Amino acid sequence: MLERILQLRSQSMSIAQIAKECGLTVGQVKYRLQKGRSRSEAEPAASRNAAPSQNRPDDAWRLPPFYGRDVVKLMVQGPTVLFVYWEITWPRMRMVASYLQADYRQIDKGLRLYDVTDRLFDGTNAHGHRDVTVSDGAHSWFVHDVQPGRTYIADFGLFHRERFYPILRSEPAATPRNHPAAWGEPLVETAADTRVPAWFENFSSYSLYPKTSK
Amino acid sequence: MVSNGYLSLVLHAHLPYVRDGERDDRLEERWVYEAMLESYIPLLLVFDKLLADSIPFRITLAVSPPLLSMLDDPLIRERFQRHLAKTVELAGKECRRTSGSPEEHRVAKMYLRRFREIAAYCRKWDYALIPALKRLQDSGFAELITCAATHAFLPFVETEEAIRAQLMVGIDTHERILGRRPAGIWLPECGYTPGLDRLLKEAGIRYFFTDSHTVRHATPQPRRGLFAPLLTPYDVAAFPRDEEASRQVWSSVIGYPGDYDYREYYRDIGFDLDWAYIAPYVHPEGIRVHTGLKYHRITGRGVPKAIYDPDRAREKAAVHAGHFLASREAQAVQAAEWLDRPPLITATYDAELFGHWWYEGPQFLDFLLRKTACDSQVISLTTPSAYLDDYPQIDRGRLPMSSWGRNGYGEVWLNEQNGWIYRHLHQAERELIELVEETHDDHEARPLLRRGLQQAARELMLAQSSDWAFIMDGQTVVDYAVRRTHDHLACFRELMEQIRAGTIDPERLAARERAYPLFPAVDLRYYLPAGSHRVNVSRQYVAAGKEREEGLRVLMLSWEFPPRVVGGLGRAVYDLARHLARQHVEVHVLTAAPCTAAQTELVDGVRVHRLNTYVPGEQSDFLDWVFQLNLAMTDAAERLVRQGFRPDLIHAHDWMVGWAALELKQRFELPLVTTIHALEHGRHQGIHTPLQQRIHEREENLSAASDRLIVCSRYMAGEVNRLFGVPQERIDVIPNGVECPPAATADEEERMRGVREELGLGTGPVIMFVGRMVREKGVHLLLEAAPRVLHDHPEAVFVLAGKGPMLEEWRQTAEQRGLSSRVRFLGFVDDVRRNLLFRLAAAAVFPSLYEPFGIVALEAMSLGTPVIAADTGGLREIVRHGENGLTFYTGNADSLADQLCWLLHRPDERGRLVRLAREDILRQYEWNRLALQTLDLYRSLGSALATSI
Repeated sequence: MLERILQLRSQSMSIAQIAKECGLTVGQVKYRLQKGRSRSEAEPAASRNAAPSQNRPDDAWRLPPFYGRDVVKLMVQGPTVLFVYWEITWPRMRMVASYLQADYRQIDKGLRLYDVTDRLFDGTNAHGHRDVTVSDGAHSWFVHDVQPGRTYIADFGLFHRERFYPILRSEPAATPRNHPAAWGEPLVETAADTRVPAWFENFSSYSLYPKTSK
Repeated sequence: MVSNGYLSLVLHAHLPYVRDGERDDRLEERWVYEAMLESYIPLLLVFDKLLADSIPFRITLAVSPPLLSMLDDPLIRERFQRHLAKTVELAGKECRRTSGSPEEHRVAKMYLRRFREIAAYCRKWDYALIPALKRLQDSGFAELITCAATHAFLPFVETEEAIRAQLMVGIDTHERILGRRPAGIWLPECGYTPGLDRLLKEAGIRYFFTDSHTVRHATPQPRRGLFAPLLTPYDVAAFPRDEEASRQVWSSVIGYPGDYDYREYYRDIGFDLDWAYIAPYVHPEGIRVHTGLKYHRITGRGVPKAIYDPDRAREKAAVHAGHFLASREAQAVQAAEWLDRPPLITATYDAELFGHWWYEGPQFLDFLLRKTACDSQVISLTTPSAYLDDYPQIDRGRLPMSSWGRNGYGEVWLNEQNGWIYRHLHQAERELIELVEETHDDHEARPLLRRGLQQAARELMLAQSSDWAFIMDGQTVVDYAVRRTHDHLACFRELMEQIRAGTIDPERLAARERAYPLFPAVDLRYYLPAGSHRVNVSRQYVAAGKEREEGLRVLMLSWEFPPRVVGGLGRAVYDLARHLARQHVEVHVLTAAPCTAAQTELVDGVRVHRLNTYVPGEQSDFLDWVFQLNLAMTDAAERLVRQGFRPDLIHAHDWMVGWAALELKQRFELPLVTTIHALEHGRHQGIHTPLQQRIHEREENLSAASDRLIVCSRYMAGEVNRLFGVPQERIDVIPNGVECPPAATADEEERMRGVREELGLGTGPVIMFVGRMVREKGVHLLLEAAPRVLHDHPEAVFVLAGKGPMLEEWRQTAEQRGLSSRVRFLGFVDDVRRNLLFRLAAAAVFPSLYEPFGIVALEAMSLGTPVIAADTGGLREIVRHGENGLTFYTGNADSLADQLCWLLHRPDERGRLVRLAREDILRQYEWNRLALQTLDLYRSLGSALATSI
């Protein structure tokens, strides 16, 4: 039954529609979906970076596996390693599936990592990009061998019919340079106003000022 | 004495908040007692004696807020008192047990003496270490600084607001307990990330410490290397720790603590002695633990451990202190050769190393401080504040993200073992910020709400402690670290749910407050976005809604909007939106940004949100781009709703916004109104290609899912009904509107003459066509009819404005028929010129084969031009033959020629047709009226509206 629900789900049907289709109540569909999710969480393929909830009895683990908020978060582990975690909500998957007219689960998912150092990225002007296919059911990924001292943006998306379809884009994150600066770098002026960032910052903000790309 | 160099010693004391209010047998809580007994109190004794001996030493002590809070906690003091008593008792027993073995007996007596000394010190100060720290601070010899509130690894905190809270709550705690605001901070794990300096500056922090490579890799290269601090762009000073000084103490290979004469940490009687004997002094559940009584020295590798010799160890500590000082002196002398000022060497260590891990550490420090202060001719002791006062001129540079952890960056706190925590921590940050912001005005008046949020903030901060990720990385007491992370986050979530639902459980809340009595008065404002612009924006939305309760809020989706206008759709949406705004409807239009700059602006009372797609339009397949625009619209709507905008309904325009419309309808459970401006089937007189098929299906989907459809003509209503089976009662006909301009001014008359002259139109009648040059517009019929008209009126001129794929072909047709001199193809014509042409024309002709509406015909009518239109689609509904214009049989060139000739022959009829046309426009096609009709339709969704809000 879960298989059938997932299939319908990926064909852009709403929970109510699925319930009708399968002769279940809305609650039953939701329950099965949730159960299906926690099961896929426990699959070995997904255990990379997964919460150690497996070690605890189910009823003691009270953190939800997902929060219902679309997010792609890019974190800098070090000069050459990035960490990405993401959550793509059902509605968004549903939209994408309905556009591609395909079963969301059958499509290769992955990350496109753009080098946007010193650029105001518009989707086309990256210095270069690199694709990473992620395993099915993964919700986070370590990307190795990136360049120190560069600024990156990651798209989570689908590789479908030899094209990449971005679904969600991260904020930029800058890797640290792991060697001394080149000679001749300009002197740094004082930034007096602490209310607005004068330089690129790796953390996000709820305040309303644009991120600087310097 | 002028120094050749400075030594700044920094000890960082931190333990995670491990107090357990309910149980006194937590193994983790022993970390506190062990550190107090072996490190903190022995160090305080060293400093006390230095003060008593009037030794002018200088040292910097960072005490983390959780540790300060625990040291300040009566429960911890009481439990430590018991722990100490037990330990003294055990040492006494050990003296008796070892009486037969002189070497061991000597060590046992050393412990007994030591513990009694500590007990005496504690009794004297009532087991309170805080006053001792204050005395030290007041002496001026030690500078006490703070740390982030719960020792969070700040580079991995997601938001500026949560970092600010970590910094400010740390500073507040320091001030509350120690009575002064700290000048500096120990960044947890020396974790730095660009921008952190801005928040440090804002918090009034003057300096912090980094690892060596942080400053070495600064931009530009620091001229004084690591022998001076470096200012960040925000003028906060970064003091890099000295590598050699670190290595000599830290290194497991060459570090002093590994000396064979020093005490062996890993041989403890808690593990070595008979269970029956040791049981009362270890964990009640039968777990062996360190007691602190250890009898062996390190002795060597792979040899039996010899018994500890306190005198020998003490001598070694003195030797090492001498060696350490000599090394610093040598460094300083060498650096002074190329430096323009005395070099500063910053040596930073964990305080717990001294005494707990390295038993002789406090003695070493005692020797070092005395020797340096009294004997050294080269090195003076200093603190960061004193150095900054002496040397205010400092170079500036940008620092990279870094830490003092393994390999210098973030891998200890972000790896396969602990990466999972950040998804939860970041979500909690965002939720807390949003809820604090949302409820901000109520915090004063509703103490329970405030307390709930404060406890939520405490739970979040406790979950953020870098210690948990560190422990998961080390794989030692992983279960404890996982449990702490999980439990704080779970309690956080529970509290947040209760706060949102307005069902805070006061007893449960009080229990959590008692269990974690640190940060008693967390200032929630630290979680407010800086400047709180956002607060104003969202409040504006909410307030606007409250103010006029009848005022509807509409989320309008349109792929084009002026200045981006491709066809008539953008113009129609603009006119409808601004006229709705005049009726006090709050309209938000989501549309594509014309260039890459996304922005929100107010256009004639309409909030227009111009959105970017991940890939710009010109770079991708049209359909892909349209879908990406739908994703962007969905996200923008989600953002607006989160900011407090509560739409009553969605109004979509054509299939291009169908995915977003359907998604948003479902997500927010809103009624959906869709205007169908044109249909793919009509545009192509059928569906012929896969792309057309896809678009056709999108139109069908959107029509089926919409609660109401608006079309511009009865003809279109029929088409929608015929093609998609949508019942007539769900379809409303609301035509598009036009403005009715006043009669031509003298200036315009003048310009009309100018245009005639410029285009060489002569003085004869002008027959005007405006439209895209596509087959469905029927220009070929006009060219067919032209010869007959010219036969009767040789001076007539045909003016054809517009461009499109058929332009070239029709130009050739005109040429082949010998019409070149009487037909002008103008290509694209702007609105002003077009209107002048309409005004001077004798007739405007619309020979369309397919025309859902025919807005241009209306515009011609509004300008006083007689209209001849094909008897088709929407045109048929606008033009009534012989009354407000003329019609001809669709697709019939003869019929068109008949009408043209008749009109040109009867100039007297012209005035009548034009007058009635103008009246019709004012009565039926005036935008205010149409906006009101649309509003009535919105309101008729009333029952759906009521349930949706």
